[in-house]
Amino acid sequence: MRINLDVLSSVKEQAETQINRRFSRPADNAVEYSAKREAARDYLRLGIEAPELAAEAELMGVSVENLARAILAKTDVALQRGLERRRAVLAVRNAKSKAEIDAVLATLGPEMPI
Amino acid sequence: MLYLVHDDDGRITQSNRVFDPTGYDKLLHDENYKFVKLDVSTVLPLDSHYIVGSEVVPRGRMSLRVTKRRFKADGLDAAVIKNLPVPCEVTISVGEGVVDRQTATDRDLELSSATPGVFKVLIEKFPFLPWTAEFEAV
Repeated sequence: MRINLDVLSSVKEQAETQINRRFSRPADNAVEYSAKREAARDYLRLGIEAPELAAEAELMGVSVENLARAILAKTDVALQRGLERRRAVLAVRNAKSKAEIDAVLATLGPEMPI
Repeated sequence: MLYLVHDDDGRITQSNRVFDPTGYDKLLHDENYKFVKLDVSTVLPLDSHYIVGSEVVPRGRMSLRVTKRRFKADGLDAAVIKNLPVPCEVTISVGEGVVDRQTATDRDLELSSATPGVFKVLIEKFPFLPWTAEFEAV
């Protein structure tokens, strides 16, 4: 009996699963930033003022409009995480050895406990 | 008293040290458990022995031979595990994941890979002890 393996592909599949699992749970700040971006967009486009946005502007001593513009000027954390995930998955798919795959996984840092 | 509960094949499924065995035999009989009891003060590991009749017997090792542990990752070169006690269960894992599991019916098992990497082979055939080894395609 002969078993023909494709060991590297198996390592890649596991690494990809590991990456997707890592990114499947949104970071708390990503959820917060997404909500803030939505509130900022609603204010600037539709004039709808979320109470939380107004409260934060008051806390910071700035106008709601300036706060909304500052929020939207920042990088979208959720989009950034999506880009990071995609970049890692593609790097694993293109890896030529387990060492290259391990290097990609090392860039993700330690897994956060659930 | 040590009670060794086993299945029809003699595989030990429970190793229970009972300090007051009064009524314990009846309890096991009533539940249709097969068991052997030993007047010893230790606990026996579940996997190292099995039951033949009413005797506790050490599980033997498979007498396998391996041609090599490293081979070329070209899909042609192969490591061969010889003298498998057929039929037996072969499980191949890479890292934490199982990538192949099947029943071997040939006494020789050839392993090849088109890509490099390390993998582990587990061969199981009761009552032998499980056999495991690591191989590398380079």
